[in-house]
Amino acid sequence: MAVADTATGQDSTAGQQQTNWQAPPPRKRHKSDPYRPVHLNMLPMMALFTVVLCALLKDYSSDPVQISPSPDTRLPHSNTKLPPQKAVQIAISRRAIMVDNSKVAEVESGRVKPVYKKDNNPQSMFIVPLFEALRKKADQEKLIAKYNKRRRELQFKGLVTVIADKRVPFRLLTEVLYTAGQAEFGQYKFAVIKTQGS
Amino acid sequence: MPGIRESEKPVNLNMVPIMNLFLAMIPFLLMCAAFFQVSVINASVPALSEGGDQDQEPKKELKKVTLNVQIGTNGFTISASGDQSEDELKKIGGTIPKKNNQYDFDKLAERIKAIHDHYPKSDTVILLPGKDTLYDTLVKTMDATRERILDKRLDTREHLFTNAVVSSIL
Repeated sequence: MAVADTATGQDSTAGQQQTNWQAPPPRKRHKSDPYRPVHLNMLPMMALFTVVLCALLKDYSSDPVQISPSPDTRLPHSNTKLPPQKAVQIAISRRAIMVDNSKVAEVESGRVKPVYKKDNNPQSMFIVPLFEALRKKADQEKLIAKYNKRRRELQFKGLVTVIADKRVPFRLLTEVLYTAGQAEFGQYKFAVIKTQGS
Repeated sequence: MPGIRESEKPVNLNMVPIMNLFLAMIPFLLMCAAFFQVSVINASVPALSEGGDQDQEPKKELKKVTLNVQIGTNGFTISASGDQSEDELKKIGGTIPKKNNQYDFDKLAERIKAIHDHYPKSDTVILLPGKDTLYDTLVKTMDATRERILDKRLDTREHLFTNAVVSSIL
């Protein structure tokens, strides 16, 4: 401000006055003054909280199918727009294979341990506990479909959602898909994280 | 205030209970909130078919090809199969080598778009990843072959090879 004042050729007395200005000392409350509580205006905060609450409730209620990858699973990103559907979930992390959140086989260095393979053969594509778990799920879904023949959404479609870590090698994925195919699950949906703006 | 009658004085609502409720609900909902959106990609695997009527000559589809994209250690290898002549199918094929040791998804998308423009009825791509190919690479290849985003803001897309079949080389 001082520079601006010299440029116009005027003395910067107003600026000095501003810098020399001191706040008046706080008024001492007399003992006779009654205590008056301060009323805060809560309305702006209430408005803010209402907006946040509505946004969170909408987010909570809009997705009927919940896909929750395990903490050690990093899903790949994709520009797809398809919403998830209700299906049996097979999660493939770097440590385990899970069917609907129940661990069925262990994974080590991107390979299923041979003890879980057919005849303990490491080259086999067939993962025995995964097959048994999926077979059980298929039987359950078929039983539900049998008693709900008129409801199309409850018919057995052999649909699985694969929630795989992005660092999983294709060989492991093939083994899981092959085993799922043997258990009559022939339609696959790969879970991904939707990229922003797509 | 002077001049205002007793009944016209504004009523001060007690906001404390509703504030308490909000303060309890917001942390709970924040804990449950997902800050990313999960979507899915449709995929299928090759299926055995019974084989139709052998006597009937199948109708030739010259505007349709089935594309094969092999994901190798050095890059992508594209080939095609269809009712076209062998020379024509050979022209479709080609390789897209890695760029700076990374798969060149942009170039793959460009090539796929050019093929789809030439054969607009095509919708099937067979992806052939190597056994050590990462799942992330497979998903990105599916993205490059499935559709092209024309305008991100308006979310307009051009569908290319929407039917992805995941297979492997024996």
